Amino acid sequence: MIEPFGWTVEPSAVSRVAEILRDPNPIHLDGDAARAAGLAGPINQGPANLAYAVNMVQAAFPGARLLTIESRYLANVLVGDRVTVEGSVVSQDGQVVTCAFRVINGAGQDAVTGTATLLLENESS
Amino acid sequence: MASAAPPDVAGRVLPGGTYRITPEENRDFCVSVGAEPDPTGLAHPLFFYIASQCGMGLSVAGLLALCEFDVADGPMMTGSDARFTRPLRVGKEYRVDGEIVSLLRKPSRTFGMADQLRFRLTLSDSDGEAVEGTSSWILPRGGA
Repeated sequence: MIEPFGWTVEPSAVSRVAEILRDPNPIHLDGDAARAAGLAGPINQGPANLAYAVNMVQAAFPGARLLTIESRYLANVLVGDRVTVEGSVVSQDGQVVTCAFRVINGAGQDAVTGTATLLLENESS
Repeated sequence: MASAAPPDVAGRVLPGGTYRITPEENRDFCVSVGAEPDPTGLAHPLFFYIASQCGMGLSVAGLLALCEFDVADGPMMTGSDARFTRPLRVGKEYRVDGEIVSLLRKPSRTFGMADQLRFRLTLSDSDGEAVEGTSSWILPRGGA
């Protein structure tokens, strides 16, 4: 088991990520627009959800280099949700570690699942 | 109502472009997702997604328009994979190249009919390819 990562999705963070992504989609920013699209409220951006998982695995292996990340998006994270990321090491081959992760939304659903591989030996790039 | 077959866009090369990861955007992204900016100048790895989306030479709406799909009709990203040759660095300019891998129309239990879009984007610098990423989206077509 890897030390879990927790984060609360604040509207101000979602707004800034929208600017960085050049993505003004109102389903992330406007409650009325989100509900008109059939959502319970504004939703977090998918890349932000995946970033939480990356944060967790990088914190678990300081100095390691991320080699691959595979992710599947299964459910939304609402703005205001308290997100928890859980993970575990599923294999190790020499210096390469593979971790599985799940990003859990405020309703307790798996929002993102996937795997990440890291090279433990830090190499200069 | 959509036609029985999706547009033949597999292999379509995207315009591409360049993207520089600025210190300000890396810092703000890190702060926004609960990460500490790396003191040695490495960018948050999720810039593989940000840089490729922002530098592919099309907006997401423009990409979906190639697939004859209106972004207002509820596209959903279903997955993304990335393979890093080396970490991304703040301040470095990356060349973004990409292509549509496939667009397949299939029956959907949820949507009646849906197109499954896969596209591939790479980020390269003067040393060659740094990251290759593939994204998968589902484009609901209703009763196509």
